[in-house]
Parts: sequence; structure tokens; C-alpha cells
Amino acid sequence: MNEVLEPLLRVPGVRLAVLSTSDGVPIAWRGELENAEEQGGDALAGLVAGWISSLGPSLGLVSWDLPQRMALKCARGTLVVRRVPTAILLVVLEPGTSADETRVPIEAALSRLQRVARGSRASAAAPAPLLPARNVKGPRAAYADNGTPSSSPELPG
Amino acid sequence: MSLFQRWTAGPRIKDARKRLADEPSAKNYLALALEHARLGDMDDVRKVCDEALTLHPGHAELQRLFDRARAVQLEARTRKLTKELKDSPRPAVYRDLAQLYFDIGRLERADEIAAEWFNATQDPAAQLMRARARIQRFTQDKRREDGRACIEMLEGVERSMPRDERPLRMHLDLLCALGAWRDARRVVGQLLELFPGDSALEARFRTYNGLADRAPTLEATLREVERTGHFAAQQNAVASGPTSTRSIRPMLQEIAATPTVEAALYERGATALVQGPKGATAERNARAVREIVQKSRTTARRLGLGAPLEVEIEGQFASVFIAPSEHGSAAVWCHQPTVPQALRARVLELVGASVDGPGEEQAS
Repeated sequence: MNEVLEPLLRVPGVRLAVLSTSDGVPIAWRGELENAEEQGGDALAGLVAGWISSLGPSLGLVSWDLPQRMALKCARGTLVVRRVPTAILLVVLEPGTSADETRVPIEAALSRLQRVARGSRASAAAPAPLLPARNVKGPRAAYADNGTPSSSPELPG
Repeated sequence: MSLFQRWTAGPRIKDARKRLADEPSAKNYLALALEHARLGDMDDVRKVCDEALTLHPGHAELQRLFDRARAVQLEARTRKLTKELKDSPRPAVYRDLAQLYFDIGRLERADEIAAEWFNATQDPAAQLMRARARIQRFTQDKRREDGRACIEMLEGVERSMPRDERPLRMHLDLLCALGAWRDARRVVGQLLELFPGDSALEARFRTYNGLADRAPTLEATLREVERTGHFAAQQNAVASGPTSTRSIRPMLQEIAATPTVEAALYERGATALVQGPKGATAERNARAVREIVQKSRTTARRLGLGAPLEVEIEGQFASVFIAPSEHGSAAVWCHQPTVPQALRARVLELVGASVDGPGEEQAS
């Protein structure tokens, strides 16, 4: 997940980026957080998931669904949370950094995440590579690493 | 930035300057500042934005660029000082780095650097910096433990710097903010030992002497500040009632009249003013906002981010912007994916206006 989070940390003002499951189990995090009672991305992910779920009943009062994006600007930093059905991406910003400035980088990170997830699903769904068919008779082509067919010696039948 | 890129950027900057000379509009200032930003000349970006903001005050994009340039510069300076501290640790670098962290609001880091500075040099000035960082943190969070730690820290600094007025002044300011007049009187007495005959200090001593009999203990004041979220002086301002001629309702009505706005509301304590929805719906909106603010406060405190200033929520229902403050919270619910900047500014203005008191408005 480095490729998902690392570019986020290169955005000026981003202090910490955490990717977690929707119930707060951390998947990966980069950066550090000062001041927190409970340090580390794992505790942060749990706290934020708790915050989101605690907002559920309050939002339910006005028939609102759980939000997709939240930003909590505080005296000593800003927390930006982007929720997708299966994951939560949260970012802690330095004081003075606008949450709007991270809108595009966060969406880009989510796109990278989806790409990574698609890639892993595709590789899981792909059939296992065939073993060399030693019992097959007749000439056939073996594929070199570069994908071009190359002649292969006839295997004994 | 390579020499080639600088060379190719030269004519673009020249053109941008020419356009700006012809028409000093915010757009042209922005174009010139962006050209400088592309080259990484943050000093020039700041200069251009500064000049532009005097002509076009409040321009959001210019202000954003100015803030960004400042943040980039501070970040670069922090990196430089951190490296210098690693290579050659000395008091001046410790002081500069701690001060820099203090200025950009990274108080925990400022405290840590000052602690390292004290361990390395035993310089009492390091303890003074730690006390400043802790007081600032207490001012933001208003947690009793932080307040107690500040007082203990200041007493330690006073013992190590007995002829220095700075820790005593800081201590006095903190005690006055808390309303701990008995302790304030004692500190003024210590200051009078340093500056005998100072008329201002003598006047303060007499004032605090009159207040000391009925003053609560230091522990009680810390408890009260944590409970209410206000310092003693702020509580008096709130309790003094209708002091402002500005009223909340017309501002709320103005916000609610915006076509995309579904509801605008202002809350203080258990009462709320709601514009837009009526009856039970209005009540539910107010309750939802109140609960969101409460939960966000708890989360922000546990994350160590200090007092919440703004909460933005975006979802299928559109967007909500809440501005919580010590005196009340204002919120707007908007039928757009994000709440426009202009509306946010008005909601923040509403909270700012309400600091003076809601005037004659009665919350319903």
C-alpha cells in the first residue's frame, strides 16, 4: 500500500495518512502524529472509525446517510476523512493547511487504491500458469520472457 | 529548478508583469504569483500576494497561495534547522527550532525540542519555552491536567530564574485568566520585590487583594475552566448579556435566503435558532448539529488536535458546514456537493459576531 499513501505524504502540510477498513482496522499508515493521547495510525484509525459510527445516530435524526467525506479543522491540525464502502482513508494536516487542498490528492489516492485492489483481484482470478506439458507431442512454441514465441526443442513423449 | 527552466520562465514572468502593469487585477496578480511558484521562488510569491491582498483584500485564491507559500517556507526552514541541530546541536539552534514549532502551532514538538535543549544545556530559557508551549496548549484545550502542569512548570522556572520577570509575568497572566486572584496576588507580590514602587503593579496588588477573599482556589478554577470551556474573563463577557447591537436572526435569515441553502442554524447551550425547516424537523436538525459538535469535540481532544473550529460533512444528502466555538455553534446545510466558500465565511462571521453576545435575540 506504499504506492497509495506515499504520494499523499509528499503534499505540503500532510502529516499523517492512514488507510483502514471501514470498521477501523488499520491496513497501512505513513507519517506521524504529535499530541495524540494514543499515538500511531492503528489507534487513530480506531478513533476515527468510532467517530464516524457515533455520528450515525445523529445523522439518522435528519435521515442522512453516513457521509463520504468529512473534515474536522481544529486549533492544532485538520483531520480529513474520505469514506468508501470498504475502506477509510484519513489524513491529518498541519495547522494552516486547508482541507480543500487535499481533495484532489485524496481522490487520486483512492483511485490508486482501487487500481491496486483491481490488480490483486485480477491476479487472484487468473488461472494458474500451465506447467510444462511434458507429455504433449508435437512442436509447440515456448514463450520467452519478452513475450515473443521462440522455438522449443521437442520434448521426449 | 534547472537553469533551462529558469531561462524559459523568464519571458513568461516578464509577460505576466506587463499584464499586471496594464491591469492590476487579482487575476493578473495570481498569474504572476503562480509563475513565481512554478520556479519555487516562495519569497517572490509572498511579496506578490502580499501586494495583491492590500489591493484585493479577502481574495480567497490569493490568500490561499500566500498561506501555501508561507507554509512551504516554514517547512523548508524547519528541515534546515532540524538538520543543523543534528549536525551541530547548540542553544541558538534549539531556540530557533522550538520557536519555529511554537509559531506554526506544533506545540508538542516545540515542547519536545525545548526539553532536549534543557537536557543538553540546562538552560532555564528552555524551561521558559516549554512553559510557553504548555500554556498555549492549555489555552486551546482547557484541560485541567495541562493547566496544573503549566503552573508546576512555571513555579520550577521561577525557582531557576529568580531575578527574571518573564516567568512571573506569564504566571500572573495565566492566573488572571483563570480567576485565581489569591495566587495572582502572591505573584504580584513577587514582582513587586523585583520592581519595588511600580505603580501599575501596586494597583494590581490592591485590586487582587480586594478580590482574593471571595476567590476560588486554583484547583477550583482549573476545574471550572475545564467544565465550561471558558476562562474567567470570557465567562464574565458571556454572562454580561446583551452587549452587542448585532443580532443573530437577520444574519441567519440572510444565509437561509440563499437558493441552495436548506437550513441555517445557530445554537448556544440547549437553545437554538433555526431558519429553513419548521417544527419537529427544525428541532431534529438542531439536535443533530449539537450531537455532531459534541462528538467531534471528543474526537479532536483524543486526537490531540485541540478545539474544533470547523466541521465539514459531505454525502448523499449534500453538504453541511458547522462552525463550533466556545460560545455557540453555527451551521449551514446546503444542496451542493460542497458548501461554497462565501457561505462558510458567513457562517464563521456569524460565530464571530455571536462572541459579543446574541444581542436581544431569544433562541427558540
